Amino acid sequence: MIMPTTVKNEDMIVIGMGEIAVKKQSMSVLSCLGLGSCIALCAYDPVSKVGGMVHIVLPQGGNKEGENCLAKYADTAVPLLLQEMAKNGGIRSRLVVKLVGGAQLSLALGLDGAFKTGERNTAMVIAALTKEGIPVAAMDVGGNRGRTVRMFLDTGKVTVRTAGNETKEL
Amino acid sequence: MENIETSINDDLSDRGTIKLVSEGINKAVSGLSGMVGRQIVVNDLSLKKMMVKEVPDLFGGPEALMVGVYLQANGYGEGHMLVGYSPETAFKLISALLGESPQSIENLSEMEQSVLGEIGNIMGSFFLGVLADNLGTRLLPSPPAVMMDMAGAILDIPLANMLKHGEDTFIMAATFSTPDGQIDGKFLVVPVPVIKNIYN
Repeated sequence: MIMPTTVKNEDMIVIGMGEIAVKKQSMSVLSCLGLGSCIALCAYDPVSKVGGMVHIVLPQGGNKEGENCLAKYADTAVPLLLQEMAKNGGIRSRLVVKLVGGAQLSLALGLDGAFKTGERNTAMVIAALTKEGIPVAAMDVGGNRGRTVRMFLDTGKVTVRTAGNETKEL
Repeated sequence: MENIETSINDDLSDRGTIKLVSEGINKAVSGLSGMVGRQIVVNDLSLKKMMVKEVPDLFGGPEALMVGVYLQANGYGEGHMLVGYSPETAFKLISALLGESPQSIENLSEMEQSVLGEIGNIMGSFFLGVLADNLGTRLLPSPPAVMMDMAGAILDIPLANMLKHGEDTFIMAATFSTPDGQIDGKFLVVPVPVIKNIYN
C-alpha cells in the first residue's frame, strides 16, 4: 500500500495519485492537489477522530498485482479505505464520507472517451460505497474544473478550491 | 527556416529512440516558430525516468495554473502529447497570432482556445510526421483539447494511463523559448516505451 511521501510542512500531508493516508487524533491536514478526473474519497469518524483520504485514479483495474495497486482503482480503494479506518479505530456506522473530483476537463471530440474517466470514477466510487452500505454525506464532483481538497483531521472539515476561485466548505 | 539548436543530456540510455523523438520535437517547435514568426529554440531536451506522481512538478506543481493543449496520437498504440505554457506565455502567443490583447486573463474565449488548439495541432502534426516518415506508417493527432486549469488536473488523463503500467515512467521533456525568453513552454511525449517498441 502506497502511503504519501510528500509532506509540505509538519501539518499538511499531500496524497498523490494512487495513495492513501489514515491518521488518528491528529492536527494534520490531508490533501489532494489538482484533481481532474481523479476522485478524493474522504472518511471521518467524528467520535474517535480518525480520518482518511484516498486518491483514486481509475474506475477499475484488470491485473492488480500487490497491495500497491489497490488505492488506484475505485472498486478496491473503497474497501481499502474502510479497512484502514477500522484498523485505526474508525467505526463504520459513524463515518462521514465525502467525494471530490471526477471532472471532465475538456469536451473535445475524437478523444475516444478519454475525458469521460471522471464520470466513470464517480459512478464506480458511489457503487462501491453502496455495496458497502456507506451513505455519501456530501460531494463536489463533475463539472469541468480542477479541484484541490483538504480535510482537517481535528474537526473533519473538508474544503474544496478550484483554480481562481475561493475555497468553500463541503 | 533557421536551425533549431538542441542539447541532449549525456546520460540518455537509448540514443536511437532519443534521436527520433528529439527530431520530432525539434520539428514541432519549428512549426510553432513558423506560426508566430519568431525564432524559437529548444533549450533542453531529455529523457527522464520519474515517478508518475511527480510529473506535475515539471509545470510548477499540481496546483500551478497552466495552459495545456493535449492530443492523442492515433494510428499506433496509446500515445499522448501535451504542450504546456504558463498562462502569461499562452496569452502572448494569442496576442502574437491574433494581433490583439486577450479579452480576459482568467478564462480563454472560444477564439483564443481555437488559436491555441491550432498551435497544438500544428506541433502535434509535425511531431507525428517525423515518426510516421521513419516508421513507414500513418500517425495523426487527435483534435486538440485546450485547457487552462491546475497542472495536476490537466495531466490527470495521461498520468492515469501511465499508472496502469506502474508507479514510474519514461518521459521525454523539452523546454523551448524565444531567445529573449518572452515566449516559453514545455513539450512532453509519453509513453516513450511505446515509441521505443515501435522503433526497435
